[in-house]
Amino acid sequence: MRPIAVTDLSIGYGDRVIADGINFVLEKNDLAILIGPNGGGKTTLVKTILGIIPPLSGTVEVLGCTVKHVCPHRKRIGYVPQMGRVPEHFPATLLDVVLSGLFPYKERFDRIGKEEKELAMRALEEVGLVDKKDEPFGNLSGGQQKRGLVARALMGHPDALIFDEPTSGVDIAAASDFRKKIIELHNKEEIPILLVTHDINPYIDHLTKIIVIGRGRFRVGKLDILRDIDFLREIYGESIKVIEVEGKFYLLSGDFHNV
Amino acid sequence: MFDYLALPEYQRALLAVLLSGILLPEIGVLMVLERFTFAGAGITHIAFSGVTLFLLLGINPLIGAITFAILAAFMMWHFVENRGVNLDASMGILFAFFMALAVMFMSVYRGYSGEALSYLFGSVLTVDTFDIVLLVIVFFMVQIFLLMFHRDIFLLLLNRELAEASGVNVRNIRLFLLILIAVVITISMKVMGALLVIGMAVMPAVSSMKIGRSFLTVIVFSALIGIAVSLLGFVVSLLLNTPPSATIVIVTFFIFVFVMSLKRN
Repeated sequence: MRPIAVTDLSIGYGDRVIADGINFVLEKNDLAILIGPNGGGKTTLVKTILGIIPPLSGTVEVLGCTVKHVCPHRKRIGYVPQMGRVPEHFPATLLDVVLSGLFPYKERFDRIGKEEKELAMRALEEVGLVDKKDEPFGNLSGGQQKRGLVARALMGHPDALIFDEPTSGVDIAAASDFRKKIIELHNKEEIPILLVTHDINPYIDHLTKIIVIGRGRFRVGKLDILRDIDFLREIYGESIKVIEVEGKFYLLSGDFHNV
Repeated sequence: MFDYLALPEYQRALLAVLLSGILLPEIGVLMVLERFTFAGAGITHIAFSGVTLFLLLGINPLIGAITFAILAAFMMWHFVENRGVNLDASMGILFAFFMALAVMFMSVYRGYSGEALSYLFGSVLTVDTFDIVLLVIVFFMVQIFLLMFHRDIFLLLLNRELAEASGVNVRNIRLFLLILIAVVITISMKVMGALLVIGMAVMPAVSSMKIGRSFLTVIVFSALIGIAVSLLGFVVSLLLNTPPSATIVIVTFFIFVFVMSLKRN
């Protein structure tokens, strides 16, 4: 059964269509990257896949179950949202946050048992944060918080992982560690990983799909998309430039900011 | 001092102070973390306009306060969730409108202005059995809400999208939360006063966040701090013959300053 299958999907809010004709499948072992200009529909697409907002038309299937608000399989996706640093006074330890990854699978009054705490410790081991388990979550650095959220997403053995801008707000060294962790997860876990990021090059040797969305257009492919300058101009505007150097791609906008 | 406590009005006052002393900090934790503090402060003033209208109509003013507060909570939620208006701006709009209504109502009959103003500063010795029954009902409502939904609330406070992706109905939880805040604040108005009630919600909440590590321990600590400062403030007010609500808030402030001076381990 395919972990995620998107068919003839139209996304948007109310009467406002952001993009339509969206078709793609994420298989086990896929490492896919979702790129596009700001406001182009990346986050809307992710929210539609997660069942947070309903599709305008078309379907999203997770493990063969059509995602609606009642579809239990929507919870089978481990999700790390784009979010700012959790403030210092937030009342939770790192372990509390990781264990909250089990809440979707628990009945309202079910207690969290010893085995589940051990599971959380293994998830923390996976991201190298076991020694920080009792630290207040708000005291951790931005990079550590992100890794904690990855450990949270790994609880309950998800059938897919989605990271929205995983390295935003993280310093250079932590971002580099974080990218390595994602590639490690991709090599180790047999589940698809979808990354929403403009940070293509660190993953380029491992990418199996590139999904581009923007200005109502959509396309899925591989590195060939990055060489299709006409298509990228339709998405990003006329000023887009792509420079390919030793297998790495640098997308530059008219003002030469890296996009 | 103990002679006073033999009197029914003082017994009711003590019970009311304790119940408010638990409810306000518990709900205060959620207000602070979900950034509903200004909304809570605004609701006290909106509830005040309900007091003035129901005094005008000759109906129990507390019913008016609760009705207006729930109405305002619902309107605020609607503006934010369905119309995309910022929460602070929504509160600013509703606050001004309802206070304008309060001024209009008060201008019609000057005779009861004094009674209406007692809701602004609290009048704990006038708490009657009906007020106590309401406080007890709301006390159980809040405890049940927290027991049933603490995981949903935790995820919402951590990150809205994370909560939604985990299957939490964030819109409904936020509506329940706003209505509970409105009800708790309003039924505590007679005890603490509209102008002081927010202090009793926020100060123990922030203090408990300083010393508690998990969400539930912070809620429990906030209630314990609430009980301690309410009792202490009430006793001090009897000893010094000072207004109970103001005394409790001043005591709470000193406790808050003390807790903030502690180092977090």
